[in-house]
Amino acid sequence: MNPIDTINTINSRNTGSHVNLLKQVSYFYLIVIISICVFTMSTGCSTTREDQTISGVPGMQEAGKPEKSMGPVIALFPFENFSEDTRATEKIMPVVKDRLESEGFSMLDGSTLERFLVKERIRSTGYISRDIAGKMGKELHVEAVLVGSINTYYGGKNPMAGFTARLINSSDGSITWASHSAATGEDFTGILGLGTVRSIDELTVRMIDKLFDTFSILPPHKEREAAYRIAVMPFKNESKIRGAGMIATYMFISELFRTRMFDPVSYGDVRNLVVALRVRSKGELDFKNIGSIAESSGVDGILVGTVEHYEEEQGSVPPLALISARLIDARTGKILWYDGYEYKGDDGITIFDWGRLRSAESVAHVVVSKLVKEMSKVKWQ
Amino acid sequence: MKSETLRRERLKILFSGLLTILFFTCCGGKGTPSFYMNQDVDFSFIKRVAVLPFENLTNERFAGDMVRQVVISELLATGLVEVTVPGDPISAIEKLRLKPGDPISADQIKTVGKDLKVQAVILGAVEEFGEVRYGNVSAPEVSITIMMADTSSGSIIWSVTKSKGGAGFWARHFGARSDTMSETVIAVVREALKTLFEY
Amino acid sequence: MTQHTGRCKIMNEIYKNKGRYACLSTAIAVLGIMLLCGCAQKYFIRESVDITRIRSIAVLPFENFTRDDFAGEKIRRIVITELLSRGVDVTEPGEVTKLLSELNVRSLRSIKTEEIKKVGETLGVDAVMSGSVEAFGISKGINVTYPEVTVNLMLLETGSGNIVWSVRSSTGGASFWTRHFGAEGIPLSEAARRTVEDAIDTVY
Repeated sequence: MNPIDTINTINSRNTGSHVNLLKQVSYFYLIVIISICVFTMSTGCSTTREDQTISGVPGMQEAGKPEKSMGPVIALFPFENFSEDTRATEKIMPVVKDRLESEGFSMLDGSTLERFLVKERIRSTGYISRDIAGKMGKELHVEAVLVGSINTYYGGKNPMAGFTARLINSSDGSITWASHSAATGEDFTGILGLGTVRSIDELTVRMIDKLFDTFSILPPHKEREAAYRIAVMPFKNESKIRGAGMIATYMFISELFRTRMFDPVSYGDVRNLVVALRVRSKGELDFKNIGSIAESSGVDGILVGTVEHYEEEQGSVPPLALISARLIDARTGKILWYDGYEYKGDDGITIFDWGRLRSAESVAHVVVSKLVKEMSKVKWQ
Repeated sequence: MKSETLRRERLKILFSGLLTILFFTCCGGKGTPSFYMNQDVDFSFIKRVAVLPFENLTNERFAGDMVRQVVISELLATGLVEVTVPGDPISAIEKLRLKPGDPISADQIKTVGKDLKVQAVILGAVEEFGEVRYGNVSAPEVSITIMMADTSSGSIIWSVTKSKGGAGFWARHFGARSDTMSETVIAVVREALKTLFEY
Repeated sequence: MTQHTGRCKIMNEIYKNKGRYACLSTAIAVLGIMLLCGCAQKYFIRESVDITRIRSIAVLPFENFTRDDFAGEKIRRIVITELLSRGVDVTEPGEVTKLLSELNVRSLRSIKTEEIKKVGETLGVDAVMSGSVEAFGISKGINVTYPEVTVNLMLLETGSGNIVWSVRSSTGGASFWTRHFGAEGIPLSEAARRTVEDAIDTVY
């Protein structure tokens, strides 16, 4: 055999084996990297919510839960329940508590809160006044109080859930955060009918997540001096749904808070004025009460209104909401703005079923948003 | 040529016939209202009237109030007479311890006239007010009687009874829209008041 | 003869068409007159009063002759909104309600001239508006539904207590498209808004 040929053969063999070795080493490292990734994903940072149970009493510790963080202390008032499910509050509150704790906040323990509520004779926990918030700050050392409402909670074929919440600063009783979320299981249906949420528990978790998406204990940057302070009076309810008036009231407070132009007063303070001044009628005010409210609370404007229609979907009839509201100048008693808006669940359909709203609460929220937007154009005299 | 003329003549007859049917079904055929007018009274002296509450002889709770409101509105729209504020006659009736819609005597008419400073009062009754079914079509039916009484004598100087309703020719046979209740009421009242103002 | 026939043929053609046009235009004219006669909205404005001077109004609660318990309030709200949009100052309804209660006005139908004048003077307004809702709801035809809204409105001058404006406005009946093609009619709230808008258009 020719030596050169032999060398060439040996060289080619060597080259082939080098390539093979390189390939083997590459595969090995690739496998190692993939294994590390899989290991990290299965045991690492992201926590899924499927392991949460929705039963239980607020404040109850469960095995395997992360330890309480040492962040700012928040007092969590049980949400006011406007739904048909009488047990909705006890189902929702643990989810809310866990969500806030996962954000790094500490919750005031349930027994301490209960003692305080009994001591102060607080019957309704859907709102809080400046005085009570201040007391909680001083006596219980809480930074803020979270209040809210369960507007819709229905676990049927198409589950429905909707919440409104506000964070009240204990030092001055002002609203530092407000939000609203609502949806039905079919609202998540995507292409080919996939994605529908069939379980009320899953829907609740999603809606609570959405509710607290923007949560912050620090107030947003808003030039308080430039913003008009508004007292939102309890809305009159002319619909057949119990609590529709208060649902709309809380929605307005939440939406007004989001605007730069308006700074809504905490509903607890408004409620105290309503009781003190014996304002019996809803949806309207006389000059004397307007003046008293203006003097006591220092507000620039008073919002009154009526929920004329608030109807859930019935068969092929879409949900409907019709709300009217007017803004009264607190100093002069003059009507600055007055409008009403009606919206049906199928008004926003663009193509196929996209844009359809399936709950009265979602429809009402569209109405409230539209009215607040119109109200923002008002010219103060 | 002859056939062409004949054809034209036939078309004319057909067209005239259609117009006639159209006219009678839409405009005529309802009958003229039966009314009374005191020929000895000079109606031009009546400058201001009070419309008393109407008697309601129907099952519709507010029929009397609705027709009364329309009468007030139409009287004002003619511009021929002044009408008192609607609440004043009711208040005057209540002062006489009468309920709205109760029969009123000549002396009581005189008293009301002095109280409200009017030359005449208008009274009335609603005899029919509601939807009536005609086969598979339903249509509103309204029947009213309106009277005017002179407050100096207490006597009736004008009175009219007018009815309107039922599904029209076109509604019954061609499914055209029947009048709504509001349209029927206004039509009845206008036709009734026409007999007073055309005099 | 042929010439005559020829001319006649042409003339006949022209004459035939002319006849057709004449018949058609007559029919249209007659129908138009019949239609127009029923459509005019009648209203009253006192000629001796300059309505445009009336810039502040107190709107009384409306009488409700319908089956909808809140029809009076709904229409009242739309009226107030419409007046505000025309630049008229409207008194807060709550103050009007309180004043009526203080004056012991039990029923709106029996509110007297003196009481209306007092309301106007106390509230410092140029005029007081009263009204009634005659129809407010969805009516049902054979196989169609349509909204029907009828309101009566009246404006009374505070100083004199006289009626200075009065109108009856109505929207109702299934439209042509609804009746024959099943097209969706306007919603009740829109019908109410249009009725009030048409009424207020006669004065402002």
